[in-house]
Amino acid sequence: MQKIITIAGKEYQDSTRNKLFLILLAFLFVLTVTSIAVASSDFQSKVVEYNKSVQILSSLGKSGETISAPQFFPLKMLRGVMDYLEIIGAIIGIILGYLSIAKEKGKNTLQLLLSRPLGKFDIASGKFLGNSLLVLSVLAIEAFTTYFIMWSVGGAQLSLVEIAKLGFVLLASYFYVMFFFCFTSVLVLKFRSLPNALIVSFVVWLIFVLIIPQIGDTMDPDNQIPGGFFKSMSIAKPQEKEIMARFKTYETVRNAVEESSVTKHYERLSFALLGIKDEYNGKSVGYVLKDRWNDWVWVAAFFGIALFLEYFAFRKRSFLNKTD
Amino acid sequence: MFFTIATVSKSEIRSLIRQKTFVLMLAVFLFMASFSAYIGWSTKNTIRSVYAQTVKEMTAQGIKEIPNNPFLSTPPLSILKNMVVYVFLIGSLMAIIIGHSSFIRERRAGVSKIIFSKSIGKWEFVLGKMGGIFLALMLINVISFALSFFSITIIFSHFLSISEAFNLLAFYGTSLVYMLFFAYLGLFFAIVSKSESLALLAPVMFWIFISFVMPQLTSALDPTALLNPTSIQTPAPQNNFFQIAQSIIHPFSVSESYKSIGRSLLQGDSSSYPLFPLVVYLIVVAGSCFYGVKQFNICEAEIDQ
Repeated sequence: MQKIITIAGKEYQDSTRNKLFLILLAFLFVLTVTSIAVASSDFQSKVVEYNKSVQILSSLGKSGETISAPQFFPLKMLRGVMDYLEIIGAIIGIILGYLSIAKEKGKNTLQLLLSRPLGKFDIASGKFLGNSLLVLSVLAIEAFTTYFIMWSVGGAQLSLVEIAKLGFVLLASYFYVMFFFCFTSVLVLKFRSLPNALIVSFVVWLIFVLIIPQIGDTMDPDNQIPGGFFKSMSIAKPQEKEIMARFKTYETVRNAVEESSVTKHYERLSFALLGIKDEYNGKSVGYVLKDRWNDWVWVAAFFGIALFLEYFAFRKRSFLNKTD
Repeated sequence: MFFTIATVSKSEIRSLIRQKTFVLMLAVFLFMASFSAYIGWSTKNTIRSVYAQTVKEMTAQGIKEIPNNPFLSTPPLSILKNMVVYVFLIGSLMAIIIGHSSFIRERRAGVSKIIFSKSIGKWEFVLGKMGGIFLALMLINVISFALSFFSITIIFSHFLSISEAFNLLAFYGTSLVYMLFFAYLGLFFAIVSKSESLALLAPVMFWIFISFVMPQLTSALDPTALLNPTSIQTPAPQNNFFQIAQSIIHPFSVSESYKSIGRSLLQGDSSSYPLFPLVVYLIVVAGSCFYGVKQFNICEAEIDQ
C-alpha cells in the first residue's frame, strides 16, 4: 500500500506542477465565473422586465398577477457551469490521462520503475489514486468557488438539501472526468505514437461530448422551431406525450443515440439534481436519485469499464514497447 | 520561389494522406456530411407526420383555429442544416489537427532545422505549408459539396436548381474560410509552442472560446444550446452587462457569424452577420504564422512532448 501511496503522491505533485494542467484549470475557473455572471445578469434582466410589465399593467388599471414572477433557484444558475464541465472537465481528464502515461513512456521510465520492487498494478493503482485525488480536489475547489460567487454576488444561501445535491453532482462529475482519464491512459498505453493517442482521444471526446448529444437534440421534433413546436401549436405537455407515443420507433432510435454517450447520462443526472429540468425542481434528493437511477448506472458503468480496461492494458507487457 | 512553394505544398498533402489520424478525422467528417442529409430528411418527415397528428387531435377537440404548417415552405437545402454544426464542431477541430500536424511533424523529426539551414526561405516554406493546407481543406469541402449534392438529388429524386446549387457552393466556400482560420491557428501554435501537447491544446482552447464563450457573452445562451442548428430567436437580455458585451464582442464573434451565414444559405433565414470579420481573422492568423516562422530559432532544443 505504501508503494501505491508514494506513486500517487508523485503523480499529484507532477500534475500540479504541469503548466498544461494549470492553464486548463485556470481556463475552467474563468469560464465558471463567466457562466455564473452571465446567468445572474440574465436573471436580473428578467426581474427588471417583469417589474416593467407589472408597472405597465397597473397603469392600465389591470392586475399584475396575470404574469408570473421569475423565481430564483440558485442551483439553476449552474447550467452553464455544467456545460463547461462536460466539455472542459472531459479535456482535463484526457490531459491528465495523457500526461500520466506519456511522461513515463516518452522517457522510458516505466522499465526503470518495473526494475524496482514494484508490481504493474502498483503503478496503475498509484497513478489512478493520485489523479483521483487531484480530480476530486479540482471539483471541490470548483464547487466552493461556485458557492462563494453565488453567495457574494447574489447573496444566495444554499439549504442542506441543495448542498447534498451539489455533493452528488460532484460525485457524478468525478466518475465522468475519470472515465476520460482511464480511457486516454489506455490509448496512450496501447499506441506507439503518443501524439496520435492524444488526437484519437480528442476524436472520441468530440464524438461523445458534442456530436452524439447534438444528433439526439436535433432529431427532437419539438426542437425544430425556435421556442418549441408544441408550444407554437398551443399543445399542453400531456397531449404532447400522447401525440409522441405514436412515434415510438423514432423516439426509441433518438433516445438510443443519446444513451450511447456518457455525456448525455451525466447531463441528464446533473440537470435533474440541480433542478435545471423544471420537473425535478424542489424534489428531494432521494426522489431524483430514484428517478434517474439508470443515468447513475450508466455513468458508473462507463467509468468502471474504462478503469477495468486500464488495469487490463497494464497487465499486458506490450505497453513497454518503445514509442515512435 | 514558386517551384519551392509548390513542392512544399505537394509534400504536405502527401504527408497528410499518409497520416492515420487525419484519415480517421476525415472519415468522421465525410460520414457526417452524408449522414446529415439523412438525419435532416428523417426529421423533416417525422415532424410533418407529427404536425398531421397534432392537427387531427386538435380537430377532434373541436379547435378551429389551427396554425399553418411551419414546415411547408422550408427549402430543400434545409435538410442539410446539421452541416453548419458539423463544420463548426468537426470541421474546425479537424482543421486544427491538420495545421498542428503540418509543422509539428517537421519539428518532432528535427527536419525543420535541416530545411532552414538550406537555401529555402522561411517564408517560402510557410507559404508552401499554408498552400498545402488550403488545397487539402479545399479538397475536403469539394468532396463534401459533392456528397451533399448527390444526397439531396437522391432524396428528392431531382437535381437542385441553379440558385440552390449556388447557395450550397457558397456554404462550402464559407466553410472553407472558417476551417482555414482554425487550420492556420493550429499551424501558428505548432510553430511557436515549446511542447507538442500545448501546441495542440492552445488552439483547442481558442476554439472553445470562439465557439462557446463569445456567443454566451452576447446572447446568454448556454454552450449546448448553441449546438442546435435551428435559429434561436429569443431576444438577448437587455441590461448593461449584455449591451456592453454585445457592442464589444458581437463584431468579432466569428462562430456566430459563420452559423448565421450558413443558416441563411441553407435555410433561407436572414443573416445580420457579415463575412468580413472572418476574413480579417484569417489574415491576422496567417500574418502571425509568418511572424512566428520568422522568429523560429533553429538552434533551439527539440520540441517536448
